[in-house]
Amino acid sequence: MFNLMKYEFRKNRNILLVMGGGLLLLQLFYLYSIIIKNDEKAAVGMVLLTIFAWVCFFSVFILAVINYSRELNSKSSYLIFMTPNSSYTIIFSKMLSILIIGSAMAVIFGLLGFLDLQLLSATFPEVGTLSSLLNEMLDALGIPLNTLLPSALSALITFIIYFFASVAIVYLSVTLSATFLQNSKLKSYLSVGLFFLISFLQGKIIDLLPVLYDPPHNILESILGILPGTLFSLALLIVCIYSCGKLLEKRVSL
Amino acid sequence: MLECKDLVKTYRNKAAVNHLSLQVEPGRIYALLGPNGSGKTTFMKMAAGLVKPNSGELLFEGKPIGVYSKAHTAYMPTEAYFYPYMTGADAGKYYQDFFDDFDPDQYARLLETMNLDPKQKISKMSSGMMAKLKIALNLSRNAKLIMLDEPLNGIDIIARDKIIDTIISAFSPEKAIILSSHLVDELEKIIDHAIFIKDGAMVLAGDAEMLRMERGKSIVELYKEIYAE
Repeated sequence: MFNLMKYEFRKNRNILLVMGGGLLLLQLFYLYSIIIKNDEKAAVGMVLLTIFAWVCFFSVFILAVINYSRELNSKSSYLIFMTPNSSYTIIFSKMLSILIIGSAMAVIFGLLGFLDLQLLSATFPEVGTLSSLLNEMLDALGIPLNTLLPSALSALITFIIYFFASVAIVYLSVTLSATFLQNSKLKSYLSVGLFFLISFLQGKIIDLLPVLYDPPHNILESILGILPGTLFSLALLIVCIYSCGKLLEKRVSL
Repeated sequence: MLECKDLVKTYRNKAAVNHLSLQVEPGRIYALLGPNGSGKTTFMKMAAGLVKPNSGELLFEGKPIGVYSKAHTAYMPTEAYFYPYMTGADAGKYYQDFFDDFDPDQYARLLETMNLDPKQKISKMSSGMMAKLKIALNLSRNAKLIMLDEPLNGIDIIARDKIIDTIISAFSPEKAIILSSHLVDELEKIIDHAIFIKDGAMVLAGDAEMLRMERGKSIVELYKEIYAE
């Protein structure tokens, strides 16, 4: 498992280095604007860093899916599938690698964002006033600061579960195209259609599930309110990974 | 060691392997013979766990093909199957990471014997160099079952002898080696057992010496007789 993940990271090394280089350049631009105390440049830097962070975050997942699809349709898949690892271990290692890369990215971007904002507040005192205003506004909206951390954590976990459920559905569609639908000329279209169908059904089922805390009084309650939907997505995620493993175990033809 | 019963694999309604039954025993070198598209590669891929049969049974030491069989089977495909970033050294490290029976010293020796630079990127190698690298990788494993698909393809006459010598030196009584090739005359001198496959089905099989004696023909002549029709 560790070795499989090591090579998953190695495959993504170049794109991660490109992302790291881009982040470094933007961060240098931002720090330069702070040093010369140019608020316009600092704002541009902040906006660019935010956009870059989101683009990088989503690119990792899109690339992971593209890599998986390419791998199942190329001979380099022999390298993985010849090794003494079960299909479940292989698919799980892939998902875990994406989760680790995605989480590491979220932590790095989150930390940098926090530090950059602190730097911005220290350099431009009016931003500090703005943040106090924001805190007061949150308080007025019934979102006390002491629930902000658990709220942010719950929001992050919920986001990760929903997001990974979608990634797992894409993986399942790609796996189906490489196994069950392998002999079909329409396999690409069918797998895309299948992804939309499963996602649609997922949405419909979540809509039917009860919403707790209706209406919610704060962010935490609103996140806990969709817990049945989140748990359903988690179950879907597990079912998709298991199905991918089962399909690869029983039907793969590389 | 390897046993297959009534094995069937179809692609788009065409049978690549058609009710194939055979047994592979340790201590023997097998030649899997047949023209392109006869089902040799599909059979090997099924034994390596890369292709699943539609029906039939395929067992390695009594267990279905899976984690255990993969740990004890070295399979060399005809295709280039390495990641684009890999050098010969990277490929060796990869095998060492995944296969307990991989001997890095043996790999270094084989690379040297075959005049291959471990620092060279595999994607920049010629087809002959790549073939030699694949041989070096798979023969550096102390696997119970070694399957080499077209090991002499793209290799010049001088290097062929070197490869055949390497295959013989990698052989031991507890191992079985399966070789597939169109170059039957090159294999004739080293094989113990010949399996002729046509349209996915076995048409003739047996101990190479017995076949020669019974039929009064060499394996090359038998090959011509079977496939010339």
